[in-house]
Parts: sequence; C-alpha cells; structure tokens
Amino acid sequence: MAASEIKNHVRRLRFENGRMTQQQLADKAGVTRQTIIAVEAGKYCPSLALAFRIANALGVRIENVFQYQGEQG
Amino acid sequence: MNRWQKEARFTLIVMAVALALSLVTVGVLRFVFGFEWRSAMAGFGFISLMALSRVDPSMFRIKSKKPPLDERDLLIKRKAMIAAYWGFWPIFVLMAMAPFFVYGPDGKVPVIYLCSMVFAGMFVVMTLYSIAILQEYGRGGKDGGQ
Repeated sequence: MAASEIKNHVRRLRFENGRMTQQQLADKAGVTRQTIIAVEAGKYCPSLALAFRIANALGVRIENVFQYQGEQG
Repeated sequence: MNRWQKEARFTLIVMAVALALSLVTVGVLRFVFGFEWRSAMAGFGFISLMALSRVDPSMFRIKSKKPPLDERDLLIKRKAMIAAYWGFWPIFVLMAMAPFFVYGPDGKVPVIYLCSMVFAGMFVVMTLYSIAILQEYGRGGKDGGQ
C-alpha cells in the first residue's frame, strides 16, 4: 500500500495533545523520532500495530489518526 | 542522521578510499616506477582497507535508552539487503563464468582471480547496501505495508 493513500492527522493531534513533541510521541509509541517525522510527512505508512500505538499515545481512536484515501468500495 | 546512515556513509567513504588508493598505487607502480602489470597489481593490496568499514561499530553506538531499531529501520535494512543481493549475484555469476570463455573449458584460472572474485563480491554487496540505506532514509523509507 502506498503511503500517499493513507492520510494522517498526527501533527494536528500532537498539538491538540498539549503540544506533544515528536520525541515524546516517539518514546510513547516505541519508535524513533525519524519514524514519526516520516509518518507525519506521509512518506512512511506504519504497520497496523504501530498505528494503534500512535493512536493510543495520542489518546484517540485509530480512525481519528489515519484515514484511507484510496478508492472506496 | 541516525546510526545506520552514519554507518552506511562511513562504509562508502572507506570503500572509495580503498579503491582510489589501490588504483593510484597500481598506476604509480606501473607508469612511474615502470613495474610490469603483474607486479604493479600488488597495489590492489590497499583494497583490504575495506575491512576498516567493519572495524569499530561502537563508533555509532547509541548511548541513550531510545529504541535502536524500529519497524521502519528494519524495513529499510531488509530492502537494502535485497538490493545488495540482486547486485551481487549477476556480477558473481559473470565472474564465475568468464574464465570458461577466456581460458576455455580445460584452462587454468590464476589464484588471484579467485581472490578478486571474493573482493569484488564484497565490494558490490557493501556498496549497494550502503547506497540503498542512504537512499531509503533519504526518501522517508516509503510504506511499511510492503
């Protein structure tokens, strides 16, 4: 699946979450800051497990963070 | 730049220096000192400097408690290994088959040729692996869903 097919709101949710830094989110999700940067920029599409961890870290449901932009059946 | 990018960059630098030093030495021995090609090839001894790229991984060791590798890093490393594998085999097979056409089916292969096969293979693997690492990190690692 191409990363561009998945839209994410990580950056906005970070700011709504007490201006959480990329490093803080990375620590909570158990990844490197580079990975969070790549996810936010839409250059990297995370695995399902990481997507759940990011959503948990941001305190929202996964569908509020990631949305599929491809063709809808 | 993370540990893997630094390691890849260091490897490429070491490889380039080893290759350049070898070629320059061969050239100097042949054209400046007038050695025969066979003797001048001794300059390729500098290619063994490639081993330096694996000498001290502690140079890149991360001291904090941050996760050293996450899923994106592993994906990038796997892609780099695949790139190195696909680059290595065609060259290795070509080098293995070349003596058949050069020396014939009953010919004798110089020992140095066998050694150079190993070094060429190592050179290709390490170079392609490092380039792929830098390229993948440079463009964000693409998608994790493969």
